[in-house]
This record gives sequence, C-alpha cells and structure tokens, in this order.
Amino acid sequence: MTKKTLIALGVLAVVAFATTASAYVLLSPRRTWSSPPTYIVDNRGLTGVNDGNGGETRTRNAIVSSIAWNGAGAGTVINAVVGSVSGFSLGDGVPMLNFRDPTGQCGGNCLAATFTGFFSGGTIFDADIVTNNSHSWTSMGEDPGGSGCSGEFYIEGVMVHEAGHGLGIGHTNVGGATMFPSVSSCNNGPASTAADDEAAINDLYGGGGGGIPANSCQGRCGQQAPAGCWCDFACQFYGDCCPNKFQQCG
Amino acid sequence: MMYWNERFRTAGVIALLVALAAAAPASGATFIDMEIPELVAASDAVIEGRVVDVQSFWDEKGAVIVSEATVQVDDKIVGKSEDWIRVRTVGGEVGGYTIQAPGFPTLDLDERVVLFVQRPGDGEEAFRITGHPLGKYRVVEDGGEQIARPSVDDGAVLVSPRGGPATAPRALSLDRLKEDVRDAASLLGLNR
Repeated sequence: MTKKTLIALGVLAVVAFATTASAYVLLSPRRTWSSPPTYIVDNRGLTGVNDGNGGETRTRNAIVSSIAWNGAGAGTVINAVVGSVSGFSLGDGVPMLNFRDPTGQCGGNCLAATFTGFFSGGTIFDADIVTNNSHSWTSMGEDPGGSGCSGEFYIEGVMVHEAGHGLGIGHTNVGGATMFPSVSSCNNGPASTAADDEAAINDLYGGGGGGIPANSCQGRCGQQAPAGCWCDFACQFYGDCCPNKFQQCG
Repeated sequence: MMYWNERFRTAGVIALLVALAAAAPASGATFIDMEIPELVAASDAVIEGRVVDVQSFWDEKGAVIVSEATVQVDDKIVGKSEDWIRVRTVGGEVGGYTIQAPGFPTLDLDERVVLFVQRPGDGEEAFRITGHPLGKYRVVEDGGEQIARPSVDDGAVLVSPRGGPATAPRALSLDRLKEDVRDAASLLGLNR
C-alpha cells in the first residue's frame, strides 16, 4: 500500500467520522411548514400528572422553550397555546397535541405518535400528536428532580421530540440529541435540543421560517454556499462540506 | 495539492464509503418494546404471506387516513386464520393528500411479510398488527436465504418496559423466526 493511499485512507476515516458525528435525518419526502405552526395543547391535561393542570402548561412551555426548537438559531419555528382539541382531525390544517388518542391508532405499546399530512410540493399542511394516556406519565412540575419517578415518562421530553417530527425532522444517530430514537423513563433530557437537532432545524427553516440557510446546499449543488462551506464533489476530500450536502446533492 | 486525477479517484472512494454509511431512518412514534413471546401471547395468529392489494381511505370517523392490505396467507405459523386476510395500518394517500405516521408499520403491494395479528374487534372488519412495528417482519432474499427483517428498522423509538432504552430486534432467518414463534406458543401452553 503506497503512502498516498494510506494518507487517503486516513482522510476517509476522518471524513466518515465527521459525517456520522452530525447525522440528523429529515422526514422523507422533505417537508416544512410555510409559517410557524401554532399547536393547540390539550387543555384536559394528562391523567396522573400531578402538577396543577395535568402537564398541559409544562408541555406547552417545553415546546416553545428557548432550550428547544425556538432556541436553535432559526428563530421562532413553532408556537403553542393551551386550548380545546375537540374536532381533532388530521386533515383540517390545525395542528393539535392531544393527550388522548381519538385516532385509535396509538394503543397497546404505543406511547405517543405524530401524524403529518401533506400535499405534493413539500409543505406540511397538518401535523398532530396523540398520546396513550394509559401509560405512566410525569412532568417537571410534578417531579423536577426525578427522585419520585418510577417508570414514568416525562411529558415534556417526549413532546419536544414529537414536535420535532411535526416540524419535519426524523431520527438521528447522535446520542443525547432530542431526536435520538431511544428514550428512558424518568429522563427529561430530550426536552433540551442538542447541536445535531439545531442543525436539522436550521436545514429546514434557516432564518426564521422557510428561508434557505446560508450553510445549506439546497439549490446550490456543485457550488460554494454563502456560509463558506461547499456543496461540490471535492468537499468530501477537503472536509468542508455543508451539513446537508449529502442529503441535498448525494 | 493533489493532481486532479488523484483527487477524483480519492474522492470517488470517499463517496463510496460515505454512501455506505447507514442513514438513521425517519420516525414519529414511541413504542414500548415487546419480545417474541409477548407478541405471540397478544396475537390471535402469526402468519407468513404476501400483500396482494392495498387500498387507502379516510376511516369511519373521518379522522385519519388508513390503508387496508389484502394478504394472501402462505403459512399459518401459529393460530387460526383464513387463507386471505385484510390488515389495517395507519397512513396512506387519498386524493393527493398523504398522511404519514413514521414508525408505524406499512404494507406495500407485493411485499412478503410475517405478521403478528389480532382479529377484528366489534364493528371492525380488518386485522390489526400486534405491537405496531414490532409485529411485522419483511421477508427478503439474501444470498439464497430467506431473511425476516424487523419493521422497527423503519424508525420507531423503542423503550424497554423496565424503563431504559430498548435494543431493537435484529434480522434473522425466516425459519428461525418461525421456530421462535412456535417455541413461544408452545411454552405459553397455547393450543396453536
């Protein structure tokens, strides 16, 4: 094996590691809201969450918190209010977070589920979240330190994760990220987004809702992006690819 | 600075390796893990079959788009079932509008599957898949062997019933999966 080949293999290893270190995935087909959605959070609360109102306020606050999606650097990408979810429907254009499951689809071993609705063209028309309230739930209002938690799931963390799906983000292989596909009971870690989650939101929503981020390769394959990173074939060798180069350009 | 021919050659190798890096699947639901014995215990039948038709429509309440697949049953692994069954899943496309429930199982035309199924309840006409994505395996040919691949690969979040993260099920030979299912039914004392 020649010296040049060894060097090249070393570069490959670095590039491969860098590639998998930030590995958010967007839902397919790629889709976004045309403006920040306002989720209606079920004002009936969750049975068994003893924080004064069944976790509804905590859930609403977690979704819009600056430590979650709205603090990811893309501006306000999601809003939420507490209100009635009567007339819940997946096709009405009104995103709702329901602490019950009127769809009847999230029974048994399902904890929570997100359903997104869209027409062709990549715009989300509706995205609703349902909950299986037969499982054991808690909140930071009920148990801020986790000392009283036993096999319960923090509603804030689960719903920030589900809201990420509602915004168009899939799972990541980055441990510790909100969108990592594994959750533990008595752990509210997913309520705080990590760098990988933030990269996903910026890929989708850029500067505050619908814009193409300066570090995005959307529409820029083969060129340099405004942020200085590259979207061309050679960026893999130079290590200066934009975060979504492979998703956008292959 | 490398010459252009070396740059392209190296970049080509890099591109190949990067392309091989598995992307995390997209997902949208969280499920509590169920292992084979639990799936068998919760099911009315476990079958191997082929999807021969799929239709999507708004459900009876008009609240969600569902799909119903007609499955030709090739092997009744445990339990009793007809030779053809209809199985309902959530999501589909109607009139240009698509609802996706990432993480939930889907059934595609011509797909070969092993399904853990529950009989229709009162007022229902179609079977449901036990355990959501955990109750469906895709049967594929790999190196001359029939392999059963779990649907959890499609990106569901799994949590252990004891509270920690769960280990997703792995692909196994179709024969091994059937053996495990029959063994579980036998251990459970089920008259299958």
